[in-house]
Amino acid sequence: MRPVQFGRLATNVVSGVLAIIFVFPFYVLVSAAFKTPQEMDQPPPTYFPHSFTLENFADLSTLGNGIWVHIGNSALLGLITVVGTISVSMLGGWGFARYRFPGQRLIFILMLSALMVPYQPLLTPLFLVLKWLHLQNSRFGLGLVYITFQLPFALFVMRNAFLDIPQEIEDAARVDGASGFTMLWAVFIPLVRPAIVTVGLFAFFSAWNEFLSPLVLLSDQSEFPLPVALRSAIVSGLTGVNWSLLQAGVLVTMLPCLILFFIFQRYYASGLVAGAVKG
Amino acid sequence: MSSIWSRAFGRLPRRFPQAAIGILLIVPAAAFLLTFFVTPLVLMFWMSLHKWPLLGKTSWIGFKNYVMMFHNDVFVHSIWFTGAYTALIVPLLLVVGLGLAMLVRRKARGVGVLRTIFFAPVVVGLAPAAYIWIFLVDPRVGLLDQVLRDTHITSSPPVWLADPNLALAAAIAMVVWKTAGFGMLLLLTGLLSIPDEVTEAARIDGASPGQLFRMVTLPLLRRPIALTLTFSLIGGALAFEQFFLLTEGGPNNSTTTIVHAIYSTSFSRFDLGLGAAMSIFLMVILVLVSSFQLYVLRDARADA
Amino acid sequence: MVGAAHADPLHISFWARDSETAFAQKLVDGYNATQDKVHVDLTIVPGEAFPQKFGAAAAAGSSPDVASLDLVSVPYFASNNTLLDITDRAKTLPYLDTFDQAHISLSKWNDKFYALPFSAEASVLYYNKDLFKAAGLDPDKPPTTWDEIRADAKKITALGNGIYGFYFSGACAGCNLFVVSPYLYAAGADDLTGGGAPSDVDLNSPAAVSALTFLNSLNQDGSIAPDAKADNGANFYSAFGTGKIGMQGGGAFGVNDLIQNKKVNFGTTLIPGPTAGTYGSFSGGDTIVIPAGSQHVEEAWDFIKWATGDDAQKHFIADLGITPVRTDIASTYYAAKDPRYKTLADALKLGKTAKTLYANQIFTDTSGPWLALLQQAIFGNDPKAAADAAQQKVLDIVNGN
Repeated sequence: MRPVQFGRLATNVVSGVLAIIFVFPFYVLVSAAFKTPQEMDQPPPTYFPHSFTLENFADLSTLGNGIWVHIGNSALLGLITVVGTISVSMLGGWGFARYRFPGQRLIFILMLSALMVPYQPLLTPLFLVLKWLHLQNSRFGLGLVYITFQLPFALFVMRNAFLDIPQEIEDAARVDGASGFTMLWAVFIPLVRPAIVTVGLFAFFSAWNEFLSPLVLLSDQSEFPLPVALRSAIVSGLTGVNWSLLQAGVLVTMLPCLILFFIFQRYYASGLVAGAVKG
Repeated sequence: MSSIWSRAFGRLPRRFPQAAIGILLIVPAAAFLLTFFVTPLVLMFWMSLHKWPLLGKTSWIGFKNYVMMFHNDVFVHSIWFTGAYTALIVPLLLVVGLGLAMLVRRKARGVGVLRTIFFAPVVVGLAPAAYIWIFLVDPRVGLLDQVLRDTHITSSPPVWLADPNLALAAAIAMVVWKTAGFGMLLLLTGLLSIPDEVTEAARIDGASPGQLFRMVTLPLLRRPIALTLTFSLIGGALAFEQFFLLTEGGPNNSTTTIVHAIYSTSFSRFDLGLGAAMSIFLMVILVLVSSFQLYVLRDARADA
Repeated sequence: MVGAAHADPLHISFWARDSETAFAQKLVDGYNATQDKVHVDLTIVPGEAFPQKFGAAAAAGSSPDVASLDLVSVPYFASNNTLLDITDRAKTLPYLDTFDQAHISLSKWNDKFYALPFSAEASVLYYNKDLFKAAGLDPDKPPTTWDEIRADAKKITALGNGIYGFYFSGACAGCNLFVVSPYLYAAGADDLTGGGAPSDVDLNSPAAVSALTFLNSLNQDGSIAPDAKADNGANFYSAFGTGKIGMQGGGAFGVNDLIQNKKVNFGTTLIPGPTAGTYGSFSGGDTIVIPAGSQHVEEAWDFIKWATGDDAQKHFIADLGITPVRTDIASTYYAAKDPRYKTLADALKLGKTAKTLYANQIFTDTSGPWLALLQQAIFGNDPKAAADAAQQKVLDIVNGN
């Protein structure tokens, strides 16, 4: 075989093997979700569910307060975070990029440096802060916290996107009589749409998948989002884990993220890239 | 609607303080960060100087917490462990990410599918990933051991989570699976932005693939590499969920990271003051290391 | 009269652990059905985070009106003025003396009542009758001493085919307070019951070390299933439920689960000690308390009175298979349901528990000394050294680090 062909074959084989390895955990998840608990409990484990069943999904109503309650909580948090992050970072990014004011570079760097601070230990004092605002144990308060965590990255991306708009466009629009909010609405936003989608997606994924903050800042199980509710399935009670039920829950948790990802793939990738390579 | 706005803003004299508008625009972001980030941060520092139990009286003890934390076995070990974990995961993520990026760079059929497969784990949560992994490596119901048996790699696969090294390996495998796609994307962009003329020129000059990689590709990838390294470094130092959920810090606290130790101190032992001190310590280390890394990599770019 | 408005019931908040999900809602519904002046709203809080959340709520001034607290947490919260002193009220209960003694001891602090027993869990030894028969052992003669456990375990493990004589969730801190401490108690260790000061925990007493050495010997014999060491409780009962484990410790929960869901032919017996006639058991479960910050003390007390009364203990606890804290009900009504429940009732009578201010840090924290002790003493080679190391850590915790 000629070297070039061998090279290509080798690449294909390696790619194939890696693809299988990467898909394997997803496969395990799906096959477990469709097995009955009885099949699950009898070792050795089977690759393909012999007892294909949908009962685990039905049983999800016994998980925590019922899976729909937790889906609703996760969705609410996602919504708050997405709307809040986009609005605040859009305004902020616009301000940093297209206006001049003293100290702006320093302020921007300070805001970015928040990325380097671990938020986990901040949770205890955050609990106190939320209490002072009468927002303790509330999903709204938690949503505000999520928005804050997203801001450094979101501001970074939005600022870059706004910086990318050539001055000529702004000047031309100004000549046409637009300025202020009209400028933003009619001219800029269409141009930074990919960035907005990126920020929105990141905000949604973070909010949807967050685990520790809701564990600490929420007490009532009925308010828990999915990742925390699933944890109760593992550690609660002394009867041991219903693995197939748990994996069905995990599948449900993952599904919205994967679906959104497939739909918005090109935005997600390009937005990330635009943010990374510039700035 | 837009006319109202343009009447409000458009009629303002050109020299209306642009600065004021700019500042107004960043006020919301600043408000969020001040309330939910800066305030807790300052509060945390304040707490670290006290003996601050969850319930009961607080008392000023100055810097004693900072001394006491080094007498805490679990914390000290966690520093070592977190360092070791980070030292392993950072280069691993870079190498795997780069490898994946090179695999998907060409324009062949199905490459898009590959890209999707490699990136998909990034969007699912770390918690769901951990729940899959706990299941996967379970000796009774997990398929990993079954695969090992069926492919005759071994007939008695280990109990992964019972051994400190294997538990670490399992966690690293999970994190690489989940995060490599992110690095792949960053590095892919970098690769794609290397102009073809440059690679062609080098090849014409007689460069071998190895030399091409070392002398042309890598230097031009400095930016994305720096970014990947920074993200994985921060992620490594702040590692928590992957161990909290997968190994619960065990066996026997061998896989307890710094953030986990902080969590235990604050929420199991209710010693908020000590937990706060540990957090400040971690933050300082992180800022120093990140700054150092950025400085080193930024400087190198100057002469590329 | 037409037009006379019916007042809306007063809502009071009740926090329970998720481990009580099986009966908590039914119990609350039962109470709400008996009258329409007060409506109890149940909130389920994850057990592992319960002390933290309860404490945080107290610190923030947002305590629930009434709560169910893991009994080992009571000393800590009582000593911190988080719980209301209910001594006078408790003394009005005619059945005060019928409560299980271990629960009562933990419900009191400085001789005052800060809690009342609510639901119980007593630990016993399960054994698989079919495996006993297969190994040539008499299925109606479970082991009564440690030597017998050891010998029986060896014979069962010899059956091979993935069958092992003994099991426990080696990486679970709380589970093992429940199923391993009985061996220490049976050997005479008063360690965990706070014989002296409430902070007395003594993990390296000779009795404790002898119990750990016994368990270590089971591991050396190879009688413990290999996945026990890493099991954090996820497979606590499912291992036994596969029918491949000869013996393991457990409580009422497991009994119910095994009877209803798994098809294992099993019996229960008291956890044996080193010599015949010595037994051990751990009394776990929950108490019910009124937080100091409760907004509705009278209503909370009324609920508590009902929940510890005959009706509730019989129909919303015993009937659901859970061991009642009322020993009078446990040893009659409950024990009559099934011989295995009788064992649980007997175990409850001799059960001991761990009374310490630092229960959370020592026993339930996964990075605490108790779990470390189990991992090292049972799966390692030197139980005594492990016990000494663990005791040192306990002293560090007790002396404020």
